[in-house]
Amino acid sequence: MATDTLPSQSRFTVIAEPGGKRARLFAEALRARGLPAPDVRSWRDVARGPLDLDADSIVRVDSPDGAGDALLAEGADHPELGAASRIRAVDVATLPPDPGRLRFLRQSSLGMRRLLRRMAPQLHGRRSTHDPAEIELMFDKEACHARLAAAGIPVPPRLPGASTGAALLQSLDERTGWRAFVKPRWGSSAAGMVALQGMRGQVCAWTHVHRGSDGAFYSTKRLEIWRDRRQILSLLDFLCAEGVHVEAWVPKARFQGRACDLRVLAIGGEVAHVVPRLSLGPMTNLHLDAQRGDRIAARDWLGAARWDEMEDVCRRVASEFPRSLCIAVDVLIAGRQKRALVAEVNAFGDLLPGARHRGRDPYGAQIDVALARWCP
Amino acid sequence: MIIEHVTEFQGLPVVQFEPAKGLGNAARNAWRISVEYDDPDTVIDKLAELVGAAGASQIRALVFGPWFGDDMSGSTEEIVDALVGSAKHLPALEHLFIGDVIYEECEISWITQSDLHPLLKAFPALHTLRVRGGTDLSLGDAAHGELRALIIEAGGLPPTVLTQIARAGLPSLEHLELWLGTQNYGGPTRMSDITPVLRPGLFPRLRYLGLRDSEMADEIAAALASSELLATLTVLDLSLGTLSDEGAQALIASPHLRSLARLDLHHHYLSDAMMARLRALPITVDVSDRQELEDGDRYVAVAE
Repeated sequence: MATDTLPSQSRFTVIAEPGGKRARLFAEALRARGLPAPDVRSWRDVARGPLDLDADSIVRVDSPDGAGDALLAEGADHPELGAASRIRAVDVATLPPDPGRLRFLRQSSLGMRRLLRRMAPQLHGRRSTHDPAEIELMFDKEACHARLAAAGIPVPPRLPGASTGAALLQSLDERTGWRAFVKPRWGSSAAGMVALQGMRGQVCAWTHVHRGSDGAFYSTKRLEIWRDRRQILSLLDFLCAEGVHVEAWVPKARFQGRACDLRVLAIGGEVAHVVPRLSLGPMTNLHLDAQRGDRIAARDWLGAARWDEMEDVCRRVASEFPRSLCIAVDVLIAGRQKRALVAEVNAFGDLLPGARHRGRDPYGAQIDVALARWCP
Repeated sequence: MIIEHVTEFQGLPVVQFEPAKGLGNAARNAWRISVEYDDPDTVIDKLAELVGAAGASQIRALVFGPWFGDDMSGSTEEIVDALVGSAKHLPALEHLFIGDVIYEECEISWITQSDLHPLLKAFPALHTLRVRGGTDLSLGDAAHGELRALIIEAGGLPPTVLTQIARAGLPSLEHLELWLGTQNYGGPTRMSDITPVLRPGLFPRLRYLGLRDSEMADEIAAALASSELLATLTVLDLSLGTLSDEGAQALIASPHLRSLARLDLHHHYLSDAMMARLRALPITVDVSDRQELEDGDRYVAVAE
């Protein structure tokens, strides 16, 4: 890592959707600091060939949102697709848009993994705020959970997954009255998550998935409660084929009458922005109509001891991803004791333009930490 | 769905019992016992600590939250046994709530109750018994000289429980609140399941009657409209159910309505015109939270 004298102007290269919100906002944050505009490359560029990056630039990797077709094309014919839904590379370009449709989750993730592995050698030895291998780990909920658990970081208990819905329910039904959270193993956001309850052969599912009239599944803002066993089975079949990570459903503590968790940004290893997310249903996610709570009120509600505990947990998570300048930790505040559990770690969870910590938004804070580290 | 735990019970603030903190002024709060998903202690352990704490003999109110830990199928039988065994340490207990459980912890129709009759025998000074969950619930041969309030919240109240209430000896009962729920979840299906509870003179002191969360709200309203029981009540509560203009019309036309002080019909399927007519009555009427038909169907508020 070069820490010697640097050019008078530090340039960033951002791998993101050109013209997209993230690239735009990051460029604004640079401009606000009198820094030059970033060199923006897309994930499609990664797919096409070597990036040929400027030797001294600082590389930021952001979400592949907007390059979904490139991910799909890259993941086509992957040997690990198994029973997951799939589309041929030649058909990707002509696939009609179907907003919110849940499909090709594993293929898309495998495509992303291939692109990350192409990025990795190109970033090796450079100043980079992100690390492809660590991004890959964050995108695999099962592997990420195992890593955190191995490090002794509090996480919801893992339950065994399965390759079919029937097998999953059979394994869960071994207990008489049980609750579980089923998450798509790869990918982020709450798309496809199902909160399941079962008792003596009856099942009930809470989910932001809507079943279309043709049996296709769509992400929806509205929380749905499914009670039809066959329909639940068909959803679980789909999810299991795409790959799932299953955990015990831990009841969230209630803040202002709503289930609460925290989206925490750890920047440079320290806890920075904290955004409480509230919802009536069991899932909180900024994209799902959850309300943002007030940080100060959330701190009061948690109390100093539990807040410190939460920060400590997040620091420990950050230390598992030492090459990632910024990680977004979803902290579940569990039950009456309000213990902090790590529900998820997100590589690109910093799109929180309204969040402030010490007067800086998430992008500004990262830029400042990066420059302090590499251009002191 | 029920999303919040109670913060207040019979006018007393609900406080989670923590052995390290003790009871302080024990009579001032409603003490809550519950088991978290990762709790090493059971409800029985926690109750034992509670009754052993200084001031326990002054406890007036108890609330039991989730007792089942990881497995939702655990019944309240253990709680009942433990309470009965501790009765001599709780001479001042007046108000008891078993089942402060929200949907995230267990669906209401999956809460597994038990035979609560021993509680009535063990606590002769009890004024309030509040229960959530109708599955496996029994009151047995209920008889209690002092009980003032009986509240049962369920997604479906078993007809057997209604029969038990109709045969119960509860001379002091002033408040009877039953969430009848839906047939799907074990609730009553015919008026003959319900009318025995509506017999005039059954509970001579009854002033509040709540037959809530019912898919039979219209029929219940019609039955009450022609019953002398209505003339003896101060409050009639048919909220949370599927009440439509048909049932409301019967009530408005009833000769027994005028002595009622309050009519609670919130969560209903009434028309604007009917709501206006109800509001014009010379009594306090709650017609808030109007529901829209879903595909032509009406739904109760809490069924799961």
